[in-house]
Amino acid sequence: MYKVTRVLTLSEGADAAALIQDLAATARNSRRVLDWALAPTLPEANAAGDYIWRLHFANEAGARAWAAGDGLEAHAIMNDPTRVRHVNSGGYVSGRVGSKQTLTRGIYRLLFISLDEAASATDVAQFEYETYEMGLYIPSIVQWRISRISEGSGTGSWTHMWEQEYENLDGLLKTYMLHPHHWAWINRWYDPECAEHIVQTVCQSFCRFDSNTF
Amino acid sequence: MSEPGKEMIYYLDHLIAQPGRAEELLRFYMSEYVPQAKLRGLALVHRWVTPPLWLREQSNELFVIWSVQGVQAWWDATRHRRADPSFLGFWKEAQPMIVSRRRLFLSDVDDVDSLNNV
Repeated sequence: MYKVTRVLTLSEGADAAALIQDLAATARNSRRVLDWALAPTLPEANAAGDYIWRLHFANEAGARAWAAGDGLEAHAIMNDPTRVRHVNSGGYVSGRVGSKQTLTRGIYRLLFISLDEAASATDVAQFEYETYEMGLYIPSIVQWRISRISEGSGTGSWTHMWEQEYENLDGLLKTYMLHPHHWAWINRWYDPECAEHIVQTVCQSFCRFDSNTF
Repeated sequence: MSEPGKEMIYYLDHLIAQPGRAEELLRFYMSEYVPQAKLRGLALVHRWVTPPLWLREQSNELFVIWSVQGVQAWWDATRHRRADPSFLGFWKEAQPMIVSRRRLFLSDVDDVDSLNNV
């Protein structure tokens, strides 16, 4: 499975309803798009952007075929400065997934991550493992996935996508933030004062979902 | 065992000094890092050295321990530290005096259950 995930920030005065309808049509009308979700971000805790758009394809070739066909209209919309001010985007083969149960509604949260290109392969592998491991230790993470981004753009040179699903917002804003695996363990990769620091930039956002599109 | 949310969280800076430079490194840490860290909500708890003499030809190891009360205070201090470039400036300037360093976050073992019950 190949995924393209985007966080869109709309231009001031843009007609959000029309834009969402137009973007959705480019996915709905394409046989290349196996599944998709387009949802407004939540205002809590400085979630980035206004909308999260997730597209699922059979493989990277399918994503490229969509981009060269039905997706051309989406590309034009996202590059129209009167409608969209900024886009963070990542394309990736689905990475390691963990799941405790399947949710049909809840909170979807993503984190675009840019790792230092000088980071060793050993450190990158350890970072990926520990990121995956968060789902095993933190009870509120219900489904989770860490993937390597093969094609990214936006405010960072995105290398990884860290996605999680929660039953509710407390699971993210309280349990996830307060659990020691987060602040006392994996944090060292993100903290510039720690010797292990390799995370250069992040962009986090989250939204509600009401169908199983993980 | 502490009241939930009030557990003491410790930072440990473990510094291996360049041979003969541990005392100089500690002085620099005390003058340049400590005042900023205290302003950001951290309390200095211990400054330990091994062995307890200033080696001239080999490396001393320094263990500087800080505390904050509660995970929320830990996040507050972390956000303040990350927003203040002077902390990174300190480590860059101190680097010639350091062989290696590691920062660890710790708690009393009696608080592990409480800290994980979130």
